[in-house]
Amino acid sequence: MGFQKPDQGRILLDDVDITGYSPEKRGIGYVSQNCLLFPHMNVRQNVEFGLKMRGVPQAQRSKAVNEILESTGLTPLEKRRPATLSGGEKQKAVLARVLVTKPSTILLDEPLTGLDPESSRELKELFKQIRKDGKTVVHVTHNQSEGFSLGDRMAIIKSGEIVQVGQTKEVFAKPQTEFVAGFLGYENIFPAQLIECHNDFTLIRAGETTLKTATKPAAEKFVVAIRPEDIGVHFSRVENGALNMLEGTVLDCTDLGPFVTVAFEAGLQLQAVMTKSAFVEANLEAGQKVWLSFKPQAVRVIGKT
Amino acid sequence: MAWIKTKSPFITVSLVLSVVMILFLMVPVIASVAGSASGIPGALTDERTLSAIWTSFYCAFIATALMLVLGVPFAYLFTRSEFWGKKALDSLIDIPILLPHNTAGIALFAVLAPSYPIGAAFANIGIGFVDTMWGIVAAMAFVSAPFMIRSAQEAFTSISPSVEKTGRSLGATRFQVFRHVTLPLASRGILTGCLLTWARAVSEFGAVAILAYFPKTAPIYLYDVFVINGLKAALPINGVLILLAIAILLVFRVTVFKSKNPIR
Repeated sequence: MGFQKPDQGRILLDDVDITGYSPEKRGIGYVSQNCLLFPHMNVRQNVEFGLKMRGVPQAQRSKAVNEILESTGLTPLEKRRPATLSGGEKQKAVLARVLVTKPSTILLDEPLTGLDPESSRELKELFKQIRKDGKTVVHVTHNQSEGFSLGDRMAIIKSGEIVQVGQTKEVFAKPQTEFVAGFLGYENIFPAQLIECHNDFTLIRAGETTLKTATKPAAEKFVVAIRPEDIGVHFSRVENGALNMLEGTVLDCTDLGPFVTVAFEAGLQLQAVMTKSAFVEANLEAGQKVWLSFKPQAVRVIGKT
Repeated sequence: MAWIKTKSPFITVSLVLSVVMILFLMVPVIASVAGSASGIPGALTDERTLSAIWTSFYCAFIATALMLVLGVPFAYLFTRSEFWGKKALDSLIDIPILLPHNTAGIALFAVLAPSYPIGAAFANIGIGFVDTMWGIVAAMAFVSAPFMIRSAQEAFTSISPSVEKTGRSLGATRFQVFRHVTLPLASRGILTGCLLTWARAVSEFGAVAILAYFPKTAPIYLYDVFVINGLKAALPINGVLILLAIAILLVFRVTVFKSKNPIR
């Protein structure tokens, strides 16, 4: 944002080097997780602030503020002080305050952290609308689902370095490192070894189990990852040669509200996710024998293939 | 008041000590005013008394304004920046509070008297400090400066730098952020600082007596009357000053504690 000098490198915005620009000259809108409204101003005064500081005439300012308050649903709250607003209302006001200045780029720094689900959903809709309006939005988050639902491109950062960047779908489908796979929700990550390659699948060894994967690994030893929602749970063996089919034992179940995660021992320790209704219907208990199935495409080889 | 009925030895002892504390503070004040009540109207119309009070109030006001202009920017920079020797400087700010007041006066005299370089420089532009109003202002400002700086520091510290950074990211310059965000949020703290500075300045005796005995401020005039004419003559003036102090305290309470909280 221009408050700290980078140790090295340049920051380009529309091919313009803005590395040495002061924050007020960058024209980047910033929304932080702390809902930093000016506490001594009401919502309207907060939203008006940026335009006022830029010397926008009163009439023009008032019109722009009215429009943005209307579009963000803040008109009824315009006279309220920040101390009297909920977290979601505050964050909407912060967003309105940024949008009214019409920045070319907006930086969202964990904007949904700590908000209730309803406020979070409303703000996500606003973020989507901003994208439709053609603005570049850089959204920093620790929440993978925010990345998937809002991002066109995704960069995964570890210890200050980008470890993978690409189209969101591509990053999701082909994580390049165990860290990326873990961040993206691949809970079943194992070291594996190549057995043999066939035309339409490859046989690999993971733990004490032989698995089929649709990917051809580039090395003899590698790591594979399976998403928990890709694993199906059955009471009897499903006769489908194309599927990976493992006999397992239920170890533990964790209720997550609408979903339940179930841990299995199947030559590998696997985690699967079931809907609450499917779990209740299956009536699974620790020690119960079941069959687990997943497609070869679900066994993703991490790294180069 | 249910805690009084608990009959705890600790509460009982605390209550006795509290009564002693209150009596210690109140008895001299009440006795002094009561004992001089009949003379107070006369003191209030005495030109010399009024002139001394006016000199005190006026000089304390100028000293406060001076500290506002110098102390607030200093407190802001001090709060927002890190530099070598900051901790040492932080300790030095409180020195005027720790010094005996006549020591402060002598220190100022050794700098501001016309026989010393800085005093001579000021004398050349027509500002003298020995036995002048500027001398009173300088002595008052010196001893009361820590009150302004500390109050402003506390006010600025309570404002998150992130709020200021947000202002910058919205297109405001550093000064605009200070003017429209920082200053309004710190206003209560700065107002408290002004009142404390003024109150400390108006009551200064030692440093003023050394640097500028004339024109006489209220504490110096009272001292003069006490030394020359005795206790009986000094008590009515003393009573007036006490009543004024009580009035100022009430104003302080109303303006600072009843003023509107900027964030509510």
